[in-house]
Amino acid sequence: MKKYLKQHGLRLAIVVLAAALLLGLASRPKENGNSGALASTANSLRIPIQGAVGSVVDWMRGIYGYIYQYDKLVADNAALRQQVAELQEQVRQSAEAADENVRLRTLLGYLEKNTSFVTESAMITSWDASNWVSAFTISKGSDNGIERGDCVITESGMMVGQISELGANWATVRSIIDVNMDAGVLVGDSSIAAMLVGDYALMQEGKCKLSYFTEDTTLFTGDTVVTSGRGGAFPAGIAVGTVTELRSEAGGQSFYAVVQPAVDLSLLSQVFIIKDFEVIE
Amino acid sequence: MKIQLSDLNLDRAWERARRSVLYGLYLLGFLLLQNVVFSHVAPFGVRAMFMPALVAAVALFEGGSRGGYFGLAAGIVCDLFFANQTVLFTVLFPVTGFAIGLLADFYLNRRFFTYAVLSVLSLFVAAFAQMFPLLVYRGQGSWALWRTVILQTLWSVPFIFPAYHLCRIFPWRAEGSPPSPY
Repeated sequence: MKKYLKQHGLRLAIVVLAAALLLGLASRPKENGNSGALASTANSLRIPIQGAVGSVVDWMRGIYGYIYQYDKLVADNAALRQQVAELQEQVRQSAEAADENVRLRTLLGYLEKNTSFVTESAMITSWDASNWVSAFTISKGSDNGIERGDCVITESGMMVGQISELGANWATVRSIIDVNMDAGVLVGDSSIAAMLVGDYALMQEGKCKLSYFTEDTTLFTGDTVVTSGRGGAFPAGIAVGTVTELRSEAGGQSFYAVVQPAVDLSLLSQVFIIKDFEVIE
Repeated sequence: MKIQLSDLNLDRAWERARRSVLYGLYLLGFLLLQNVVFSHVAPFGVRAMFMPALVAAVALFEGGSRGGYFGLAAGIVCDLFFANQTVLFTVLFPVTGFAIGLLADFYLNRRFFTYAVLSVLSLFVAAFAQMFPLLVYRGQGSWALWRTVILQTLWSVPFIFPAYHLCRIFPWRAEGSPPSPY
């Protein structure tokens, strides 16, 4: 037994330590914020594989649906035709609304605040398979001018998350509900400063936590939460979500607020990365 | 000096290559199933993570040393294919593989019941190790974390059946006698 341990265990332990050390060093971000060579290679391999497998899964779902859900498909088809007609009407109306929206945005000075945004659009290639983080990979990286820590939003300006890892043609986005998320925010009409922090239990509900209030803070459910812009990581005024609940901390001495993100993460397919911004107060 | 073809041990080299390719394919298959296919299946918001079951199966049939090296390979690819990259699995899986292989070499039989107990234990340990940093360093609420650990282990249990039978169908260990503790 002792001989066996000495002969095999020691050798394996040395190999494992060496591999862990190498992997740790190779995965460590470079000075320019890019991920290490191993991480870049792994992601470069993973993205096309996941794309291909995703296509096969979609195809198989299609076959399954055709065979087993034919009647349902016929009914769905009729409903969809009706929906298409309604949507065509809505498109006509929304074209007018869009024009009106542009005018209103101009009126409110929103565009003047945000014309400095330099954005990059990217498609979501895959969500992380782990139960312990809320993150996804996008199809653009440092080759497109993206940097670690950049803010990620939807097309309508709602906050999605932050770039947490970076390669040449890929990047990992830590979502707004992730446990490791931290952002300075302002709450409600009176712009109360607070910190948006990740909470594991809330992450599973698709929500996040608002914490670090002063003692005399008064919050209400329905208060809107926007980024404060302090610290320079995020532009100010990006919509984060709304306060849905106020809860006491475990000791009962302080309280925190539960925030429902403005964005529905499950529906995302495309995101926009703010590469550069200049806030005009 | 005269070298005969039989001196080159080609049979053994061929066997080793075949075994490596086969286990490599098992590893790739399980990785794709786990990270691509079953990542879309999350009952109660929790996904399965069944790579430790394959490491346990390989270690049970191959012994401590090979189990450890297979665990190392599995750990490296798992660490690389998760977004939150650490060296957690690179360290954990070889230890799991070596420990199970060692027990199988000296003390345990290779029946399914033995494997089931060991693999469920390894699934639990892997989930616990993933939870540990959040519990200790991020001060997250423990109930939600333990719930995920238990569900992740439970959802991964069905995969111990294919892992065991895939490794059992090839009687590799029959070629040599297992080491003796005496």
